[in-house]
Amino acid sequence: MSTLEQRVRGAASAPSKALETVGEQGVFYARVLGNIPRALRKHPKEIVRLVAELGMGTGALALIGGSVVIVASITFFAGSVAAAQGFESSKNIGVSSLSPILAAFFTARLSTPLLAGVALAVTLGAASTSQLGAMRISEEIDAIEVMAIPSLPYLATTRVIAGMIVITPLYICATLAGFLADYLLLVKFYSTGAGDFQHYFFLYLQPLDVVFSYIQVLGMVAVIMLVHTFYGYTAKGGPAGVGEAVGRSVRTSLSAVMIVNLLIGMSIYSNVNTFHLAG
Amino acid sequence: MSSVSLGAVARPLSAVGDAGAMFLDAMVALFTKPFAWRECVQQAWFIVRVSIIPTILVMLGFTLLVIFEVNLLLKDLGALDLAGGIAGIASVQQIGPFVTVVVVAGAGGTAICADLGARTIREEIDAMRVLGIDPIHRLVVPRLVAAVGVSMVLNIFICVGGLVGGYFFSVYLQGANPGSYVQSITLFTGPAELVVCIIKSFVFGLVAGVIACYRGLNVAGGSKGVGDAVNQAVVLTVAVLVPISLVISLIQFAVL
Repeated sequence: MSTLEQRVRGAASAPSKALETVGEQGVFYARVLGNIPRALRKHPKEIVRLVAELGMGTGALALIGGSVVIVASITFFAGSVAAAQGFESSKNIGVSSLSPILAAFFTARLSTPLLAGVALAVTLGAASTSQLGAMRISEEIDAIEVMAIPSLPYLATTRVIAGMIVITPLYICATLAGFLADYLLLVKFYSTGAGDFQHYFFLYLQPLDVVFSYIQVLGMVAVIMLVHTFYGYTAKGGPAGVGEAVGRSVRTSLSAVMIVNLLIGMSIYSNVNTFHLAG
Repeated sequence: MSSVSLGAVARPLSAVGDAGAMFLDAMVALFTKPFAWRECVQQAWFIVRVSIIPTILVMLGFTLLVIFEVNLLLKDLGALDLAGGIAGIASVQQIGPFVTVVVVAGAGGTAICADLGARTIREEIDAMRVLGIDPIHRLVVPRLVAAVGVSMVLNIFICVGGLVGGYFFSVYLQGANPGSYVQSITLFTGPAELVVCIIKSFVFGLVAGVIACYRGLNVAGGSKGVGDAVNQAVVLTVAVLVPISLVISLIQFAVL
């Protein structure tokens, strides 16, 4: 009986709890963003160190080449899937020589930014949560505060800035990997003519699309770093709590990233349609 | 120097071997009675509970963005009647499985790994071994079964959600004809493609479950260790499942 009563009570307080969480996160994000000038002024060295660390990864992930290799390989295989599906679908209606058009469209606009968002959330983001969570549990964050260094700009804001910096080279590698996958799959695997590929691919690869997808990724990275630093910074409950925080942050950031991506994509492409097949 | 680089190569490989060995142990334990039904149902419910909201949001963001942009392309071609066919390709053949990867790895896998990692770090697993209970049989097998089952259910949910969401997007926002939307769904996507999609989700659930359980049971090094384990589990799962999806698709194209 008591469990039933507890459950009813729990359900009744759920909305206010959810609202509290939203407020807590909102305040955290505002503080992180508000501290950007301070972090830039006081901790430039830490930012540079974090850029290197986020780009190359730490621990076992560094062994297989760090975030760069992971993100690029994921977008590579996603680009291959886009090229393969485009080829097979266009073969169905007998226009397989036009498949480079579809590959250019899908890779630049969809597969690369979407899968890069996922890959960034699980590499850059989850690593930050794990690091910050471990610092919180082993009371390193409290120690920083005791030394009169405000911990939030030093730990959270620097990570957000470093994420925004490291994304540019990372995303260039990711985009190139996607295009390379298109080329390899269509020309080497499906033996579309190399000249055919070159002509149609670059005819319909809109430079603006790549720029727009970069804007999408910038938005996604900002969300990823904010969400993940929040969950890491506020981890509690011992070592088990760190694992829990990483899991929860990945779930939240993946959901948030996809919605952000949908909104940015819709607002860009419904106003500016760069793709004109008929000229 | 050479021994160092050899170790660097051998360590990830031996982890792969260990995970494979754990998988084989689990396959043997799967047919050893009694099967831990209660744990399996609880785990399935647990995975569904943590995954359902990410599933809905990722599905909306992922599938609908693809359908939206492809419809822009179709509109330009004057072939908006094919919107349903594209939605079928998107949600059943390619994007649906990708969403399943993201959800199974990002939501289910992290939850399983964090749970098992916490138990390992509290030495509960060692205590079970001392009591003569095989953790593979008692913990890993029900989780694998639950992960596979939930992955397949969520995959169907994602396919249906993508088609329905695509309907609203195409018809109400982009002016496709409702009748031709429904009619053209089956143009590119038939029962065979659906079966491939279900096979994909089966494989995804299995691989995600194995990686999550393996990393969860092999946690070392305190609080940093648990966080890193969950992080590595999700990175590895995504990095392994995307190529697997490509391979299954290529086999599908070659056979069908």
